[in-house]
Amino acid sequence: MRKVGLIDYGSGNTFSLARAVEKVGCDVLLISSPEEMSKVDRYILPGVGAFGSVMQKLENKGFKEGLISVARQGKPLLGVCVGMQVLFDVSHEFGEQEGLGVIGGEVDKIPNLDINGSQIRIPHIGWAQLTYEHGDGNSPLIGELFETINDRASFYFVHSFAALPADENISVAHTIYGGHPITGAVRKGMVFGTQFHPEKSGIAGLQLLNNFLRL
Amino acid sequence: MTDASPDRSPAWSALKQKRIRIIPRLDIKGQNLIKGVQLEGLRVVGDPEKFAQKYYEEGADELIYSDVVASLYGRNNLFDMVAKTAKRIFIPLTVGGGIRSVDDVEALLKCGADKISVNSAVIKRPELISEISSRFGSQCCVVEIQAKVFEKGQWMALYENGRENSDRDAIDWACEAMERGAGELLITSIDRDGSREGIDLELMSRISSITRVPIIASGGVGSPSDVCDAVDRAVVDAVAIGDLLHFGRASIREVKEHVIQNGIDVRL
Repeated sequence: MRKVGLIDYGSGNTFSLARAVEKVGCDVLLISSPEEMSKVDRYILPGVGAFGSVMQKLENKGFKEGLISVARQGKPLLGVCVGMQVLFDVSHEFGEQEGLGVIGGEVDKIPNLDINGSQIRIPHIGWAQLTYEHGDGNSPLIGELFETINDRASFYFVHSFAALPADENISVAHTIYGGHPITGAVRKGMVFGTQFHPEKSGIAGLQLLNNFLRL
Repeated sequence: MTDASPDRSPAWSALKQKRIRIIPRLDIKGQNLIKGVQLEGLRVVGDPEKFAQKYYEEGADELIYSDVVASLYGRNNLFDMVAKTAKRIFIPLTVGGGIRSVDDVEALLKCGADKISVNSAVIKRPELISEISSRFGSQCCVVEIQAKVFEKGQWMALYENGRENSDRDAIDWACEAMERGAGELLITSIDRDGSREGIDLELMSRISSITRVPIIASGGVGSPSDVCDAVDRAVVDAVAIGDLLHFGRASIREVKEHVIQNGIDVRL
């Protein structure tokens, strides 16, 4: 049976992610120290709460180098929510916070006004459909992450900050909130990230996890 | 987003197009799903886990578990129920009832809750709101406000499942809870709870117009069109439904199809 390492550093809904991974027929290894990372060859990085505190905990547990290293080696890595945000260079949440720098770009507040200048509610909480960037069409694996998922499927978002990839080809899908495009999923090589929670997105989310685990 | 419709306050124009959430609310006592009227006269409905599973399969956007006797560590505690539910249900689960500390929150999150809702403990010690949101993120911290009409246009915030009066004005308290770091507000109208008389539109619109975080309206939904009224006239972001669903008078699908026919966006 396939096995995925779930990085367990004290910030993240490891329970829900583990149950969702098991639901799609994969074993989970909770990884609580960087030494254990070599036991598997694909990883999920959860994350909830503030960017700075997530990074602090990753550094305290010694995961920073390990994660950068597996990304470099081309092992599949999926960051979820703040777990995706920390893949980027920097966040502006509570001052400037350095991320893992695996993907170029930054993380900033979702605008609190819509494109007409009217107020919108923050956090952005709810189910949203995605628009897929099939632009260059030369990245077949991008298709695989969302393969067999209905184009009209919705995913569950809950966040106040959003990623802004430096290279727009990094973005796989976006959603719209208050008229603004919000990064929904990213990919660079075998490093993937979803701003939404696949483990909380019903059947469509389970299918996405299934796809990631079989890439 | 399209232009604001002229009959709406421009400050909140975009929300008309926003997708709303339908959230079954499961009030729990011991091992049972129960439903009361104005939080009293509790009637046993059935096994909460079976109902939760059914609502997940029917397309609920989230679920709320609310333990009305706040027996977090009692004989029939919530932890097992939450863990069993979270194993099979892949949508967000909010759990409330009896949370008194950051440690209680952590224990529930470890069992698979995604958010917690707090009422009595934060009325007694409002600092708990910022403690929870700074530790776990504001997205995790739902503050429930149980509002009861005292005189026309004035609601007080009650606690201990509606038994005690906090002497706080519910609308002022909603603002304070948001300022202290609540990521969402669950506004329960005690007067309308179990009444099937519709959402308290005045209460909800007063709160939604002066807050910036998502509002979940609870109490009084007696038909799918009550959901439309709450969204159109009180501009809430989500509607919690108990009675209408628990007694099988409508399914989630029927509620959602009705609101879509009325021009409101929901996930089908």
